[in-house]
Amino acid sequence: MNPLVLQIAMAVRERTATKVRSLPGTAAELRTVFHGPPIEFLELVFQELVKDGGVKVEAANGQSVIVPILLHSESATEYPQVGHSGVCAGVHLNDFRNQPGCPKFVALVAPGNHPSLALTIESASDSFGLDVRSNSGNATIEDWWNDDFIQSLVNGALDRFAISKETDREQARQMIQRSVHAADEAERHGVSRIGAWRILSRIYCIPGNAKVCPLLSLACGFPTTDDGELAMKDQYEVLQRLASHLEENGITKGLEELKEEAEPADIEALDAFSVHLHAICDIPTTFARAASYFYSPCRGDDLASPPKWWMHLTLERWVELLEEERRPEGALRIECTNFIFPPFKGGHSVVHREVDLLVSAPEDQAEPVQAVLIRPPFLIWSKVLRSFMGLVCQTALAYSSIISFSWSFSTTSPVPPCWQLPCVAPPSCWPSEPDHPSSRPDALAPPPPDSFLMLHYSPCQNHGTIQYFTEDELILSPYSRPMFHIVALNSVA
Amino acid sequence: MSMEAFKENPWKESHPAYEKKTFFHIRPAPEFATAEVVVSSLYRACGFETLAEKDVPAAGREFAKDSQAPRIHERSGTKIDMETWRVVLNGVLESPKQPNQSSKRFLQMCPLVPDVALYSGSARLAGNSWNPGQLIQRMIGYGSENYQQAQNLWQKLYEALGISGTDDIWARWLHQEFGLRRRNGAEWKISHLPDEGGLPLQEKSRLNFPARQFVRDLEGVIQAKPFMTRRQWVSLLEAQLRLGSVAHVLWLCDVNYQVWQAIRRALHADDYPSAEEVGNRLISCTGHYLTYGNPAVPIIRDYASRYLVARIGINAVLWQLQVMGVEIKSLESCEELSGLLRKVGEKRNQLLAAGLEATVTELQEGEKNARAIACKKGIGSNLVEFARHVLGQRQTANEILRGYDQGYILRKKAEYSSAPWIVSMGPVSILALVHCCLRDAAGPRSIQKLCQHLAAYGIRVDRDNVTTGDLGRKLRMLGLVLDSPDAESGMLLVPPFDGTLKTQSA
Repeated sequence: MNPLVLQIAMAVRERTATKVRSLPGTAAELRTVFHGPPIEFLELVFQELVKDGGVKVEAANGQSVIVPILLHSESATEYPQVGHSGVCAGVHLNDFRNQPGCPKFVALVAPGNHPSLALTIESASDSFGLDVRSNSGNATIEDWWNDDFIQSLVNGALDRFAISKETDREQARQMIQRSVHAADEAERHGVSRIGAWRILSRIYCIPGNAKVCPLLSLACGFPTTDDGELAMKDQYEVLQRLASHLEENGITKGLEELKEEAEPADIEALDAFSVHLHAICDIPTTFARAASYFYSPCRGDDLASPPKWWMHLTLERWVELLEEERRPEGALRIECTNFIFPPFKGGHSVVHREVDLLVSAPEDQAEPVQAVLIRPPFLIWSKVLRSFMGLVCQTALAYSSIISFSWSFSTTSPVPPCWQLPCVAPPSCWPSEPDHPSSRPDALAPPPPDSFLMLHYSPCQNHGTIQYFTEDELILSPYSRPMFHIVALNSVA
Repeated sequence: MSMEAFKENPWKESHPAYEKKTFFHIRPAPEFATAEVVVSSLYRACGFETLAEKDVPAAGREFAKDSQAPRIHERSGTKIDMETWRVVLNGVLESPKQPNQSSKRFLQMCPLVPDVALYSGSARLAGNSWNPGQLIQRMIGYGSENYQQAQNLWQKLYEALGISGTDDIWARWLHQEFGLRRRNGAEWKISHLPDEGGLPLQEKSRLNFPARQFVRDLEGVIQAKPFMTRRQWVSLLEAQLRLGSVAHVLWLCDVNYQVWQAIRRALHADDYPSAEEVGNRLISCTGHYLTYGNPAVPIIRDYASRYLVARIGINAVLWQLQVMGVEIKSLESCEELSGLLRKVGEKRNQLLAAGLEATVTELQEGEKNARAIACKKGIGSNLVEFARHVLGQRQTANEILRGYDQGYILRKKAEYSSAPWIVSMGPVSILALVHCCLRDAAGPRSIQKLCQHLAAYGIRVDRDNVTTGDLGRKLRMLGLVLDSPDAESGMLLVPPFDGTLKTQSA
């Protein structure tokens, strides 16, 4: 039997026993409702509980009482005899409530499945398990996660793990929480929250003496780590990076791109991962919404042995595969040549007053390259853009969500190798600001003449930003406002 | 147009059958709009047909300038002084600017009377705006049983939107004052409703989709007009348009995706649904799009993304079939859709041999299209903007006016700026919903009916949680429910406007 089911059954038994023992006599009434997991699990809990005909309680006076268990199911056509356990519909639960010969029972009710119970059974009984509000269709996943019963189950699982450090325990809890949220997103907040319960079920399948990280990551849908230690933040972030990479490039092409400089073992694993992903999720946006849900090779109640690709694609492998410096073939090369501090990995180039950019075509590029300079509509750097246009502009698409200008150049064309972007005010002939929701509320004036500029270019994503800030802001908040983006339109191999 | 042109630009070069002869193509393509923009645009679509959306901002600028010119003011023959008129335009009628519009100077008025739509309420302040009014027009065609019924509703809507003797004094006065200043020869005259019924009548009657509910509810909102002030009625109408228009667009997104999934099934197995199965499985709105109390935007993005993937896929199939000599002329019914699936199945081997799947992958994942499909730009991003701004509560630059919009469907979950937008209806939306829900009920209705009504628009509410949740609290606050702890059926709905009627007659 599934350990989660046993745990829930134990909770029901203990609570029922405590309640029965606290009653004034064996004839006293105890009508109680347990709000629990979806019917898939609740049926198993029911089967476990009715092994002895119901919950058997030894009362203080030595008498034993069997409290019948009634599993609520609206599709049930038959119902058990009074005083016996069985499956019955809501209307029969109401009947049992009204029977003097049935002073005690425990009704098991699945989430969002308690029609006509709310005001009838519950007004004449007490309830336990999840709070009925946390187990309803309108509750958020936060409500569900913060429910005392769910927290007790999570704590129960964590107690089983071989975790000595408190920080690791906290990381494990966060991993479960992230995973549960992703499952809820993927299932569009469905009332049964079956995905979230399956995660709990899988983490209960982790043997207590096993190393936690690999199995917990497998249960929750994260890549494991090489050293087998939890690194929740990194594991989460790498999945987000993978999701955004696939969103930018598409699932097939995104993974193909990762294979370009990968080793044969990586390629094999990526191919298997591609098959896995295509089988369950064909839209990159969906994957990005709930990455851990779709990444997980285990989707059922049990923790199956992991596939090869999952074991190979560890956190470290993904970090290497998604390394930003792996410039894709055919990407524009954009470098800042007048930086104040030497550029460092993952950092920004900082310049004073104006930025000198060296934009060059890919190696061995004979054909013209199409590139686009995108100016968010709230920015006014028009003179610079117009000077671009004067040189090589082909088209101007104004009043779209972003204004973009396309031009082409090649290594052989007489384009200056270095373009300067000074801080200038816009000429009056520039079209007025388009009214668009993407316009930022804090529409910017041109940068002050003595401002600093910061360039960040990600060759992997063909995407760069330049931000400006004054000397004060440099100290206070260097990550202020993006000035424009440079994006290569076509990747020309 | 050809397969090559489609491959070059899949968003522009749709197959002629998909572009013009498909009931599930989203036309006009939604872009950013607010609820008031939808209402203003509907005024224009209904009665000011000659005024193009793109001409509205310029007309507004001219009108604002004229309102400050003493000579023009005198010439109009008005009896009020210029300062009063200026206060009416820039104070009383002004619709609060959004945070990103705080520094902009333009006329933005609440669409209280038809003439307001001549000068404000276009989706953009410059360039070509899309036309949300046309979307509503099409929805009326889709949701009506036949063209005659659609025309009747269009006529009723025109009459309700216009100002007559039954409107309150404030609306009549505004109508008169605007009339004195009317420019560019615009005339309030009913426009022609195109005969765009979507699906054939016999198929439509057995399908459920949001436009059908919307049409019934629109009629209910029109009927409620005599029981309230013009301002209240416009808010009520606005709330109904918000819910209906977004639900309609999400439904179309979903239908596209379902059709594409069916094509994929037909490409790999002998799965050809009959016309009836197509209707029940692909077209009818059986599930839910949004869940009450939960975040909405990620799900909307998901629908938009799926629509774009499906649109590329369906068009690729249509173009490829054309290359193979199979001409698909129209997809305007479940019958024709079923026929397409059969043809895809028959030509399965040729389609696969021609590399259809590789073509689709190439188009969906190419550098040009991946960001569009991820709703980072283009059609997908516009769809998300449309749904989010039409459903979401208006954010105002002026903090004092933050309660201006009460007909919202989405609200921010918390105060912080990046708080998610969750499904939580405003008081006006709830009033509209309860009124429409009870309109055709002969007897009392419980909140179960309300949940079913919301489900017709693709919003799921857990009935058992209404009593304790946000919706129940608002229903009680508005006096729209009778709590009956002894009754097995729980809470009963109270008609919101019948009481008004009794009070007035008394």
